[in-house]
Amino acid sequence: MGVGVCALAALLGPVSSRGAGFARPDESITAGSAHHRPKARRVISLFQSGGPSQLDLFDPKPSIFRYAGADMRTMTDLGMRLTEMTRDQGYFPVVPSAFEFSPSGQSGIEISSLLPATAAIVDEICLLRAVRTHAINHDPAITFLMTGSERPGRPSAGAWVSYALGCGNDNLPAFVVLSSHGTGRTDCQPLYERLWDSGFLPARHRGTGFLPDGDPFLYLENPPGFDQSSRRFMLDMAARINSRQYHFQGDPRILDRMRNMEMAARMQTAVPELTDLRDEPASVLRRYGPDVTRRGSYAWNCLMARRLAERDVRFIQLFHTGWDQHFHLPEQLPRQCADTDRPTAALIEDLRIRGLLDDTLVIWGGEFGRTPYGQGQYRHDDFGRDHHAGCFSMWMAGGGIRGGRVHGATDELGQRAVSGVVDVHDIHATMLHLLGLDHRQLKWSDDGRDFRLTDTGGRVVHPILL
Amino acid sequence: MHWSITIPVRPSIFQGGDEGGKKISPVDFLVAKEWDLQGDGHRHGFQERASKEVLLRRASLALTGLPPAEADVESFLLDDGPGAFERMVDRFLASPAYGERMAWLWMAPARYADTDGFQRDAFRSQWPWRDWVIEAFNAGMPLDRFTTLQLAGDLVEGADESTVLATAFNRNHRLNAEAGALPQEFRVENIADRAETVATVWLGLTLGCARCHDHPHDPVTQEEYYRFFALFAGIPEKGTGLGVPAAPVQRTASPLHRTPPWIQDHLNQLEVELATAGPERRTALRIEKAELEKQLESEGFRGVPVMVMKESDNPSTVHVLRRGQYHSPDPDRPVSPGIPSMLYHPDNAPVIRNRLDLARWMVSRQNPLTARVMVNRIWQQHFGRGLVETAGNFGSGGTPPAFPELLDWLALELIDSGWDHRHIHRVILNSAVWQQASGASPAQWKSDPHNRWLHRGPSWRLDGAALRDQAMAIAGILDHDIGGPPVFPPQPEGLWKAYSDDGALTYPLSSGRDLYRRSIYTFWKRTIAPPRLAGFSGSTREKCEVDISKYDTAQQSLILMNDPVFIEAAVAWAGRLMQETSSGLHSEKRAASWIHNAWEDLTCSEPPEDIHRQLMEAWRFFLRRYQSDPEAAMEFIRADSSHSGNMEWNASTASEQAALAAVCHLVMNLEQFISLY
Repeated sequence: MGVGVCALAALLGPVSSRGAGFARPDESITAGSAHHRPKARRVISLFQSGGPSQLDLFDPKPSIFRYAGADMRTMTDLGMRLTEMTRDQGYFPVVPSAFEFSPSGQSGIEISSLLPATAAIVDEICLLRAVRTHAINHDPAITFLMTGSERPGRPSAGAWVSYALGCGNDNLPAFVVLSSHGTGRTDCQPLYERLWDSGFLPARHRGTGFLPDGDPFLYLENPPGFDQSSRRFMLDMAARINSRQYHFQGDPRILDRMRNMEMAARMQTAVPELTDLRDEPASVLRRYGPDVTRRGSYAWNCLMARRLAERDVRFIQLFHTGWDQHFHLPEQLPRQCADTDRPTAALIEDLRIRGLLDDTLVIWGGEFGRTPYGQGQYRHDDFGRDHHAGCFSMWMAGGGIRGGRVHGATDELGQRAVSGVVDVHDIHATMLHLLGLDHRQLKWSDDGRDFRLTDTGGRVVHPILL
Repeated sequence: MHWSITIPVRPSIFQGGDEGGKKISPVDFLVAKEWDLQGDGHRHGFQERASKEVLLRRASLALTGLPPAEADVESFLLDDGPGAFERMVDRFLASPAYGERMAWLWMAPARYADTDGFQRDAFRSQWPWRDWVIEAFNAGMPLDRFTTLQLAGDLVEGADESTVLATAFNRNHRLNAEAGALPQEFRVENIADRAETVATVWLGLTLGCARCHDHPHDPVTQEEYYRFFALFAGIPEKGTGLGVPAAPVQRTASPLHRTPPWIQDHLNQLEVELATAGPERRTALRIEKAELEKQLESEGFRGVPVMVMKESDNPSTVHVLRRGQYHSPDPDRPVSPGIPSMLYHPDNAPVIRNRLDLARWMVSRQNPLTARVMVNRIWQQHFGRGLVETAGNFGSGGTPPAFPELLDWLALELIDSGWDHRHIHRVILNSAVWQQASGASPAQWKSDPHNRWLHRGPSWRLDGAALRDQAMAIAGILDHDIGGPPVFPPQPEGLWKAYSDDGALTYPLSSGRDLYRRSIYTFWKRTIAPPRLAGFSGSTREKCEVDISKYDTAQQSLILMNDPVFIEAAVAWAGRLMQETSSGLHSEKRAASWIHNAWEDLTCSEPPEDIHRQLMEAWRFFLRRYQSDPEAAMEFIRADSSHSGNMEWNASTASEQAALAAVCHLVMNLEQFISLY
């Protein structure tokens, strides 16, 4: 095979360090390198799907205990965008949190007793208490957070970043997606591929899903009865005959496809090595908690996020479902937190210890928050909250973010953002900024129209930056 | 005035008197004329004609989505008479597979799917509409009628179940059933989707920009947006809910999924018997009849609910929505239905009160756009890209055509032929432009990567449907049945589970012949699209898509390398080759003839000597491998348990079939399989 393979190598040229090692038939389709000096090289997005209750986790409202159960409409205007689930309910009881908050870390940021591990790393994070969104239903709200638009068809944030910066690794995709199911509420929200789609961007920027069962990446493993030596032979022979066709046709896309076959083959070896946890010390595994060895758990995904970050994968997107506490919040929320608190904090610590936190931006949050008023019957130990777009909490850490800080505040009832308001497009703009990208310049023209992740909005939230 | 909104004018064509007295194709004339106008770089004439075999495969894949059948190959390759090529094209155009291919290409623009697309993504049953489209193309329904019925089949004179079924086009959008979703909000989203989809599919316009406010450079104003929107706002819909009962709904049987005659006969016979039977026998007959009816019902023969268009008795007035928001109608700005004023001359404003008026104007000669947009998509079907490369934007942001006269000539040819789509295919395929060889020098590829100037023939990577259907056809396992409810061919089991709400949604894998139906019948779950199909096309059917994505990815390579569907086809193909030539030759000679035949199956031509040698090298490698590990051989060929199951295995035939299957599968990873060229 020697001659053919050498000739092939000459034909394909050196492997590019950007764009996941794929050729680009048309140079104009890449955005070019960073616009300014980046603080972060990669992003880990820990998306908590369903709408985590900020009032029970991050945004304490001690003064509302005296109003508990009072009809909130007598105290404030609820606005008109209430969901169909609560808009017609007879009264809107003020519902104080069922959980204690206490000051944590050197910064003394108040964190709920449900998140002891997060409280322990609070000095690393910047808590945004006044995030706002528009949609009040899951699907459009998640789509908005992930793609900058409530309607389908736009590239996801990870796809934009892959497009702009490519991958730091030639054996793995630039944008990897891992999902897990929460135990707080198990019949909760499904996920949709549009949340990691490349939209109108070239398809190689689409997120690659990491599945909990079967092949980690779709169609990764060789078929039964077809071993690695057969694969290698098949790839070399296909390359020889395909380069012959290239010789006749001259079509550069043939070379692209040959490179893609090689990339596919490299993924076949890189992924088993990635998922093999035998090289993790027991002390590290312990830090992520007992779920860490169960593939498809949030803990396993967090560990995988660190391993992907080490391998310079550009955008690592986690999804964890189950945060939709319309009812029985005091019973469900502790389970959600038990799933996620320890692994999340372990990830931050693990990144920090390895020196990766400095250039890895970590973002934690859901698509919206939950209402300060109750949904359905209210008892102090059994209540629910509806979707709330007017204000909710997210946090960011690492990658140029100022830790141990709170940005933004909500009103006394937790109904509205009153200062330090951050819109979803501001999150996007800030994330791109830290990656060295100007959100106004990162554009793609589709069918004659320019599109941005931040659409016509987006401001970089400077006070939270180092 | 922008080029696309001037009424097309028929260019004069010089057709006669070429040296041999042979007529020049008008397509060729107009291309050459434009080259002349463009000057030096373009005056080198057409590339040589591709070989007969290449043209045969090219035509077959583009027109039917399948490789040519053996009979097509023989009759064309043996036919040296005048008009042989035209006869071949006509054969493909008359094949039922033509309607399936045309319908497949209509599905992404129509954002057709078998689920609702929001959140839990419930199943719906719009598939009789998909069958209506297949049937319309195969029956030769002219494109003006095709247009009119889909836009206004409920309003046309003599409207019936079939014409109303056509209007399902405008209900194929997503539908939100999330608890808590506001009906007013999503009713507006639904209407906007209809208006914007119709504008893109038939007019090549991106209306959406004008939804929120006027833009300085956009000729469509916000008010005009809501006038167009008003055309689609009059149906009595709730706005949210599940697709299956979402009014207005018509219970309809598919035109291609009729009760099988023998079952109908049996039912009739039961009726007759019932009339005369005694009481005891009567009870038994009634039970039998009821059970049969129940089965027919569950298999969709008795009709399923299809969302269609039907005007409300008392429609409410549409207002401009401030900032495009559903809850901010501007009471001072009510609008009546209409189309953007840039589309007509002020002295000759069409009266457009409803969708029927819209449809009539759409297919009239006063409309500058629809015929152009349609022939552009047919061109795209053959060349991979349209004459207007931005197939969804004929407006100022789009790319003007490199061959404006050719586009206009084709548009008028479409209208003057009575909107005959087959005619347009014929004029394109009978041109020297289309028949050119597709190879070119690297320098030429570099200077014109998208073949905008048509200096070479078409070449593009096949889509996911054509790749799988081709594999099954060559293997001899494709099921040619046409129409019916969607089917569930293999896909990775964990995919639906991973992203479902409770982690338990199982994929209801089909069985038997349903596993081998053409890919247009594959169940399309909108939020988790079938990976093999979406992975090669980029379309997810969440919204209207008229551009055909040609991006190549490593994921596609993994599909071709490892998807069990291709392994199964390779094993079945090997089994067929072995059965066809099993006479007592010596093993190596037998293999040489199998591989020779395999190459012919794929390319309609003999393998070049070096390729044959390389594939034989592969054969020897795989044979050694499987002879040394017979268990691996059995494991590999087990991928096809349904077709090779009746072969008699011994260790020797098993390793031979595994080796040959490995070669066949290698062939499925070659450009000659992956691409049309």
